[in-house]
Amino acid sequence: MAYSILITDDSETIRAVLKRTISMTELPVSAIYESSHGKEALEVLHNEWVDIVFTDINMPEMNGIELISEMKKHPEYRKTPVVVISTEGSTTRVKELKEKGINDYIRKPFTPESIRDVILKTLGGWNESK
Amino acid sequence: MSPNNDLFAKTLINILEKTAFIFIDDLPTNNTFEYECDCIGIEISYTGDSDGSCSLWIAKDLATEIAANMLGCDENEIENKQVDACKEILNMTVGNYLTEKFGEEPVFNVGIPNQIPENNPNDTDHYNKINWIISNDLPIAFILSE
Repeated sequence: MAYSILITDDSETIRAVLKRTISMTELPVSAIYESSHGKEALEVLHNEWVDIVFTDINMPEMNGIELISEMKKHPEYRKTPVVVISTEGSTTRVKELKEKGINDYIRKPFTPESIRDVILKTLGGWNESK
Repeated sequence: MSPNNDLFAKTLINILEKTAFIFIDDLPTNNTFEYECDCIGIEISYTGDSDGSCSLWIAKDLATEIAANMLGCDENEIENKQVDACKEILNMTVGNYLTEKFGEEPVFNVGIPNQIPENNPNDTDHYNKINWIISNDLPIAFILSE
C-alpha cells in the first residue's frame, strides 16, 4: 500500500521542494496533492483520501492553525495526521500546536531523513498503513 | 557588522548553502559594494518578544540559480519562480535567526514575505544600513531593523 499525501503551503517553491524531498525518501507514494492555503486543503480532504497532511502555519485565506481546527470538526478527516512544517522554532509554539492535535512538527529547512522519519513514525511504516 | 547583523548574515549563509547550494565568497571587510544590479527585493516583519523587520535583495541572476537549485531543474525552466524562492529564503532565515538569537522559548509571529519595489538596495532610503555578502561576484544585501 502506498501513501497519499497533502502538502499545504502558500509557497510554490516549498511545495515543490517538499515533493522532491518526499520522492527522495523512496517511500511508496500513490498521490501527492497540493494546496496553497487551508481552504484549498479542506477541499482536497473533502474529495480525496489523504493519509497525512503537511502544512505550513502562515498562509493567506486560512492559516495552518485554522486548518487544523477545521479538520477536527469533520468526522471523515478529523483523525488524519497533521505535520506542521514551519520556520518557527519556539518550543512554546510547538507545545501549543500539539495541544491542538498535530502529530509532529518539522522546522524548515528540512532533510529527506526528517520527512521520511516523520512519515514512518506517524503512519507506522508503509506495510501497516491503511 | 554589528553582532545582530553578523548573526543574521551567518544564518542567511547557512540557509543558502543548505537549501539552494549557494556558497558565499569572503565577506567584504568594508561592507560596501558599488554595484549597479537588478535585484529582487523582499521584506518581512515579525512581532513577539522583540519586533523587527528585514529587507533582503538578491541579484536576479543569483535568484534564478537559487530557484533552479531549490526546485531541482534547469535555470531555463524557471519562469517567474525567483520571487517565491527568494521569499522562502528570507522566511527561513528570519525564523532561524530569531531562534539563534532569542532561544527556543519565545514565540514570534513572522509575517508573510512581500516583494518590495526597489530593485537596487542602493536606491533605498536606508542605503547606509545595508549589509552585503557576495556569491560568485553577485550581491546579496540585507537591512535588519530591530
